Amino acid sequence: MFKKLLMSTGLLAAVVAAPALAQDGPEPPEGYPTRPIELVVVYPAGGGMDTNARTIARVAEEMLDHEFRVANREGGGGLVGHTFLAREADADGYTIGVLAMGNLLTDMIVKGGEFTPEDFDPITFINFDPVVLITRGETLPELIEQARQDPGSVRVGITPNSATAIIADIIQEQEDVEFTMVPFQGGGPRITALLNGTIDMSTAYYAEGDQYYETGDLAPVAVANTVPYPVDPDIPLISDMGIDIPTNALGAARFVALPDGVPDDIRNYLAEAMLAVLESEMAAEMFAEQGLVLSPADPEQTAEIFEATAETLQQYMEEAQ
Amino acid sequence: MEEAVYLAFQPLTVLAAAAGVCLGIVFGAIPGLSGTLGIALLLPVTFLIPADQSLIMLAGVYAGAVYGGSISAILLNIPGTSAAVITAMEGHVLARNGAAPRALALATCASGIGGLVSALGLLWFSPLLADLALRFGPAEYVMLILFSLAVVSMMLPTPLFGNLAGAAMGLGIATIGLDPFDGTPRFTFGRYELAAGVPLLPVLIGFFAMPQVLVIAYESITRAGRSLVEFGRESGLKGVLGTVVSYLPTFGRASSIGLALGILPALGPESTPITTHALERRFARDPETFGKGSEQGLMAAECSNNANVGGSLIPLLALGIPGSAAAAVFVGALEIHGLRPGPLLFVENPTVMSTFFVGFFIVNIVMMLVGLFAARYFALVLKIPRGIIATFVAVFAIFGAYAAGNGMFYVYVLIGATVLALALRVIDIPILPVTLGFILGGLFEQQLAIMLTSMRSADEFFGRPIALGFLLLTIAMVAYVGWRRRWR
Repeated sequence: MFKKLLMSTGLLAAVVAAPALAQDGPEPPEGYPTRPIELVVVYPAGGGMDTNARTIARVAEEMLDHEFRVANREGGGGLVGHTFLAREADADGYTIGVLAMGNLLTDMIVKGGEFTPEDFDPITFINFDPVVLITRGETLPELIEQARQDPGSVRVGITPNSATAIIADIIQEQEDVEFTMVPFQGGGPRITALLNGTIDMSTAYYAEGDQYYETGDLAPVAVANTVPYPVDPDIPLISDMGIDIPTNALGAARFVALPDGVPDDIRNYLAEAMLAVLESEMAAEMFAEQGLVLSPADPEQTAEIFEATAETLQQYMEEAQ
Repeated sequence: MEEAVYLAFQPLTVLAAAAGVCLGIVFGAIPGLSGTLGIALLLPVTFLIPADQSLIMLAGVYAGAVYGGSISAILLNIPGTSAAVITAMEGHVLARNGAAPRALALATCASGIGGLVSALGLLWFSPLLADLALRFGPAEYVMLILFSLAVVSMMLPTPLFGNLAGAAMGLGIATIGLDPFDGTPRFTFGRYELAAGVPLLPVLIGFFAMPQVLVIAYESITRAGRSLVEFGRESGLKGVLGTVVSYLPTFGRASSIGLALGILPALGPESTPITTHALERRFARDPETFGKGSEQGLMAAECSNNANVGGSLIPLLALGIPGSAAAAVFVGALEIHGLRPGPLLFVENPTVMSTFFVGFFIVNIVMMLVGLFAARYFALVLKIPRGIIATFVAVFAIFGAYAAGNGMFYVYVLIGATVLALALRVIDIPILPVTLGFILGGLFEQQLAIMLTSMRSADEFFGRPIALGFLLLTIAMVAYVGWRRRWR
């Protein structure tokens, strides 16, 4: 650990001292890369995933000394970008996807996306961001009680057919209450709707509402996980309220993934390089500034996390269907 | 505040504003290049300069692009941006009648005034207007969109049936994509790209720029018509200012509508001039000229779209909700400098923000000066042979679509939209209601879904005065215009 820390501090110092000489990552294979490498984000510019990818691209450019470009292939809740990566992108190492497991599966199972998890080769795990429930101040048990007294009176903002909807369904079913589900196309509009009273509770990613937690207008009242949320460990866990949910599955598990079939030497280089990028102090600092925690994993662990998450989610989604 | 004014008037800051405005005007004037692209291209540059200067520069690009679109619109009848569709309709007729310099000057003044009014809104009323935007719930959106569609369908002088058919067609195109109720793809005809819906940019280029490119190319080949338009005599600044002063009520209406629609996060500068123009017809001194080279219509449209720019920055900064594609890229610029848009932005970074607000005035003043004094150089465009113009614009339109969509799909949409626009001309269905229906359709359905699921009874709707007001206004207008048109 210390060694790693020292090493990355050294790397950072080298980057700062002599950016022109920067070549701090692993050695690339012969004849690669000869042109810019494209990081495909399946969500629009300005969103959480986009910020992730742009930060990675910036650190990677510094450390690996070649050009990375972020391309947003958004739309259809990720379906457009996922299909592009699985079906159309060349597996030559010049197209890298920054994906979130969760939406990848809903695209397949619910939206008829023509691809499977096997079409992707996950090389580096970035982090897991669980779904949180936010309200204007009421606790989750209070709202559950209200829904029990007056079925349908609690309006919950969700994105239809996504991890956010599964969570609301799980609570409804296990607590035997009835919510009114209000469909939104994204997290931002749900925050507005919660603020102006169109809904009473929203599923969200923590960062989407963080300033309103500080102003006191909104509060994160539950994390859809069985382990505390590192950014704010004080938020109560849904599992502690007697609701049975899987660990580290309901949310966005973010990966760097290649289209399946990239030549081994390039794949291994990219896997090593991305791990070095995400483990660097520079990346840790930049992610921390945005309130994000990094938990990078090597390719073997990454593949395990990818498969395990896929399996758990698939099971829940097929039950929900 | 004094500090902000001092900082905003630093030579380098003014230079940043001017650089942004000039780049924006160029990007706006060329169809296919957009303000969004300009901001995205300048993002890396903003790493190198302080936060306030980079925000002012990017705002300059944004405002400059919305204005720049009117130059090619007036001179060539090719709207450089989708915000300049109405400007092309009114301004090009004026240019054909030999009043190009005057039309350009009026558009410049109108843009500047719209921009300055929105700068005032930004400076003094941001928290208030952001609060207003927040109160706008699904019922209000649904009724406002209904009202906008009704205004355009009823007020356009073309036959009512064609207008309504066009609006319905636009709404129909907008249903392609995800079903807002259950999030599954719909009407995608096996093309996965259509899950995102039909993209706006290539459709608008196909509707408005490409048909005119074809006309110019055709004229160039057949040598029909002597030249594009004569630039005409330089207009006296005095005459222009006189006209501007005599139309003050128009500017009042257009800038308030532009600002109001701008602060609603989902209504960008594309649809605003269409609605404003249709409403302004109601107040026109000579409504018959509307759509046929009306100075009043031109000024209303140009004033409203630039008022929309400043308006759209309000929810972006104060709530963290981007109102348009360009505004979304703006979020990235803020984050690069460690500024998180949202309610705490003004609390945490008061100096940067007030400097930016003062800078936004400078941006609009620079824009007016550039527009007024560089107009004679815009005329050089008209000296270029028509064949070259048509080729140049077509190439940029296609490359622009390719770049925006990262591939050929947007180019196919562009071609499809061009064919549809030509077909609609043949069967005499006006394109404006189609456009408005298409732009607003997706939002309309999403908000309708939210409204229908979140309201438990009709009483809740009647408890919302703004929504109810729009509904009554719509009904009254439809009844009135319908009745009057029947007896004509």
